[in-house]
Amino acid sequence: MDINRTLFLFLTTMCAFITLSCNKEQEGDKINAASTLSVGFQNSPSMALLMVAQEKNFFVSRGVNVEMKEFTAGKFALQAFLGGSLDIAISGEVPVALSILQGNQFKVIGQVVERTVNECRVVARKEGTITEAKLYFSKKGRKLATSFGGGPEFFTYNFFNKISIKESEIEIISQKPEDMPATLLSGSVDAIAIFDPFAKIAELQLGNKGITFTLDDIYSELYVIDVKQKTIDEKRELLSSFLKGLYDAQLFIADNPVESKKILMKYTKLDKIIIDEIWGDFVFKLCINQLFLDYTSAEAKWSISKENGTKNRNIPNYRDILYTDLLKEVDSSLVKIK
Amino acid sequence: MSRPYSTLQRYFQRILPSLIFFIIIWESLVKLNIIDKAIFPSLGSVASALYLWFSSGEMARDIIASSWRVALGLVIGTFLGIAVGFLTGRIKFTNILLGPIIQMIRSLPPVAIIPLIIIWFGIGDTAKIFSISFAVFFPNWINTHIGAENIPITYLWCAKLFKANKVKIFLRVMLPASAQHIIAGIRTGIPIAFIMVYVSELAGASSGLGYQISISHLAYRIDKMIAALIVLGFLGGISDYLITSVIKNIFPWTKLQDNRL
Amino acid sequence: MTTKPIIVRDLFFSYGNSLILENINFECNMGEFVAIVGKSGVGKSSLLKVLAQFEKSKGEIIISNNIGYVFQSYSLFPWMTLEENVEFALSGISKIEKKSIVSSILKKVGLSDLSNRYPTQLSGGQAQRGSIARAVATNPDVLLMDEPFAACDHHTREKLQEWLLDVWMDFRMTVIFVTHSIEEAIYLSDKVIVLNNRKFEAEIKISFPRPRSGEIRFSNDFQAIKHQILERM
Repeated sequence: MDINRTLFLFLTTMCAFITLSCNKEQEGDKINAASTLSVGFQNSPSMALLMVAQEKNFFVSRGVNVEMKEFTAGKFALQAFLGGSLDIAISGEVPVALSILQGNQFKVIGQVVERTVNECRVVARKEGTITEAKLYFSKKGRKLATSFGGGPEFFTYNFFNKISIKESEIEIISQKPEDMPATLLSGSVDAIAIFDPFAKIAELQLGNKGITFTLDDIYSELYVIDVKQKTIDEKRELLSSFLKGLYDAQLFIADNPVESKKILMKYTKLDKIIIDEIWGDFVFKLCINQLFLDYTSAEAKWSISKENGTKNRNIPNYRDILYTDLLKEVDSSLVKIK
Repeated sequence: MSRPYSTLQRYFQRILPSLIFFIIIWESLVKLNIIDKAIFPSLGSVASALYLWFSSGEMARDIIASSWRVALGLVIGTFLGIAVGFLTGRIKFTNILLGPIIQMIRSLPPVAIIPLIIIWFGIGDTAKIFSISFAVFFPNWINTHIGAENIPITYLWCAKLFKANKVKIFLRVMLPASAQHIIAGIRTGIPIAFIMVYVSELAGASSGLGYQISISHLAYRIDKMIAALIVLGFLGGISDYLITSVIKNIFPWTKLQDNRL
Repeated sequence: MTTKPIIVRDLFFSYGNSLILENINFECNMGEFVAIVGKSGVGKSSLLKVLAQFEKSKGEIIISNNIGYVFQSYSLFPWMTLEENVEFALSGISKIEKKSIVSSILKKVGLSDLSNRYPTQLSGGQAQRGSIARAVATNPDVLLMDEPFAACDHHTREKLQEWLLDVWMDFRMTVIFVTHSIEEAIYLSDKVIVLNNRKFEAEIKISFPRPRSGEIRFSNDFQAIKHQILERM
């Protein structure tokens, strides 16, 4: 009898607790939901516009609350976004190209960088006096780690194409970006192809035991703002405010680089030396430009050629996924596509 | 004793209605657009991805790569787990020395130590086999420890009376007396090994089922990802069935204790 | 060199801080069947374990080192067939010899047909007969039996008693048989040792002629001895 009573009391208490907790959450949600956008992003210096806008309250002053959710890579933010957990994802354009190719549906309303320069590069363990990439990778048994499904993988493809090395001659290993510097340092791989800050971290850790191979005129990643059509229909005003907040951040960064770098250090927890060194890799400008269309088409072609007989042989028209109206409302000169 | 073929036949007959029902539900959800096929592909897409993956030769490469990592990791982890389990289960001093530390480490999720393993061993096969062995060690250790600790004392007294030497007592009394527990440990370790091969291949690999699942996922090829998951799950199930069959042939008396309806 | 197979002098046994046996003294003659009785918890099983040197004690125990032991339960190894169990008891001889001895023992105890069965495939009575077969396989000088028939029903028990006496007559080793059944003790043994309150209480000789028949259980002498033992408990 006692056990039954105790069990009943316990279960009743648990149910009450759960019900109260749920109610509390819902109340909190109701207040903020109307004016909040959840944004998933890769915690890296490439997100300077977002970080500065949040830190300097540009979003709030424009009438939108932004809830920032960190991921170790933009592609993971995109996945969460596709799963419905986020209003916006800011990711590289490669995951966007691949995702659209496989039939997912969403829009791109802007880029948070106009372009990047050598943001993605190959960092390798030095061997003797070899300084030429082709010579280095001609050696049998080379291992290179890269981040699959993102810009680094596409960069790797372009890199080896440029130096006329067949990818099949290299063992290409899939790894998470944050694991690559340690792997390179331990000697498990000969080289990594990855974006900043991980490329910079690896360079600093290797010191004069490392060598960096860069090729200026090949691919360098873009970062784009992904939104669902439904969000555009239901939260258009908030999205407009969001873009205006980013534009305010762009102007601030141009006038206040030192303070902007400090904000980046705060959000990314990276040292000043790393921020200083990679700052020049990025052009922090809100826009939509032709690079996005050129890159995404090339990436779709590459993905199709990689897969043996993939079901989807048509390259999507990536112009169809661009939604430029919101950006034009901020400043029509920000949209630079042919 | 029933032949393996008829056992398999009976098994498939039993699961067939459930399987057909599952297939109908799956296809209906996709064909009626209840679920977006970009995130939940049709069974046909998955079957097609499975076929293409097989015919490219990559499936065999991936299965072999993961299988031998699992096999080696299982063997090492199981053997060490059983050996240490007997040491701590039967020798008080060893248990005082090793028991608390093993219990502490056992509480750590094996997945959490992967970054540490990368630093120590890199991302080669040594690292993967180490992480699998590490994870498999603990269920084998605890089950063997309990089995060894609880060997009825009368068995050991009998062996002592019959003047059996230590080796004979271990091989012919202690080991079989703990067999049921050891088998439980081995069977618990098998799915853990498959989980760890997936996790360790995520940390860095150029072949394997975990690698294939990961890169398919990253390329938004959900059909191929599901195909790889099916193969991984199937391998895990088959491994358990095969290992259990082998064990039951080595320890035939365990079959007699199967009193299920 | 003593001709008595068992001599116990000034035996004390404790388990932790509890004194279990206090100042036990007794002797057994060669080929004698000795029963030990007493209330539950008086230390009968403990005495047997001490004699077999499974537990350490204080005092003097002189006993042969060729001992057979039959437990109340968990006797046969469940992972071995009956044949393998009996074979396990034998050591230091060739495989062929082992096979021959095992075959002969199982035949003697009437279990040849069950040699390939596992203990879980045997009835309670068959399993205990198997345990006894294994215990006598080495032709021990002393056979210690700890309530071997306690788990059996009355009918099986009586049959096993008869069977045990036949086996004992064949091997004629010294037996110490612990039981909580006074009737069983009197029927089987040449003398009954009574333990009471951790101590040796009495030694009562049983002089019924052998072979004994079941009817003696109903005789006045039998009942008188039973009464005598009960009084000493």
